Amino acid sequence: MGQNRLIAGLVVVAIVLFAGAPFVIDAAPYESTMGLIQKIFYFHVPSAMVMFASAFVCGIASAIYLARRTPGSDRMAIAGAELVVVFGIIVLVTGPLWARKAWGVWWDWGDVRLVTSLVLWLIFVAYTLLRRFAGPGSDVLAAAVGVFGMANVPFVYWSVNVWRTLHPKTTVVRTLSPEMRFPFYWCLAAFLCLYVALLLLRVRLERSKSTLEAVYAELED
Amino acid sequence: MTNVRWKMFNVRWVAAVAVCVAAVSTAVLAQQPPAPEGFIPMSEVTNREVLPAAPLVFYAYAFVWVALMGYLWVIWRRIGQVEQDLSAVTRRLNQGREGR
Repeated sequence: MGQNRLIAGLVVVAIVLFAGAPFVIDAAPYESTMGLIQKIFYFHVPSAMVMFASAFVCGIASAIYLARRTPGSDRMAIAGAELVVVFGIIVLVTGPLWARKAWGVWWDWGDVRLVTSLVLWLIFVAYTLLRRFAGPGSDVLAAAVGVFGMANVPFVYWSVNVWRTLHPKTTVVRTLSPEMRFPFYWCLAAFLCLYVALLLLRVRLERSKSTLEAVYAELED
Repeated sequence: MTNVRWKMFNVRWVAAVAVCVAAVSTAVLAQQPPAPEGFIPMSEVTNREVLPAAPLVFYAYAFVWVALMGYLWVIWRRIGQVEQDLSAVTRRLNQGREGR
């Protein structure tokens, strides 16, 4: 019951923050070279940050599962992986919308950040497909994929500093002006609140599913 | 005689290479825009692609809303179905135990 309240509270806070986001973003100044299109930054970067965080949640939970075989960590890993896919779709859709106006192209295969982000997303798609279709024993294999996916995150993050292409460097968030920083953290808070709520809900779904399977097994006996 | 044939072969070969070079360079030059006679004011450029930013920002924001709220709704529905099944099966199990 306490968790239900927490989830409901987080969802309400997230919806309020998302509803207020256009007004807060509108109040932020225009970036000097990109103008209005730069405002996609306020959804694109927080969703990428949440995607990375979720990859770490999945990777750490998978490592715990590989070491101890605790069902709780497996459920957390499943939830984390699915949320990497969901937030990854947002990153991979909002990014090209921004790029089309700012760079003149939807996608650039020469940009290492774009390609590594796509690879990271595909690794977690592979994880969810493994859990869905690979049958018994897929949990251990998927856990290894989850750890591998997490290991990719630093490469995606630092790729812009190592291979200088179209993407701005990682220093862009640290060097934001105060007028741009406020809407950024507003949107980040909205994404994080919704992420935690979705993670808790997804873990609860897995727990309910395993309880249902156990009850079915008992009924058959 | 052999010397004349050899010379003819060389001439044909050089002519073929020259034609190929001319054809390729014509195609390459045809793709290049003509050199400007002088500076052109920005206001006189007519065929510039102007892509409005506002719809792209709107699509991005709308996509975020649809994706996240859609996923939230799907998860909520799946939890509702599983928990409904769970309560039904638990009831059957309890009835079976009472019957014994």
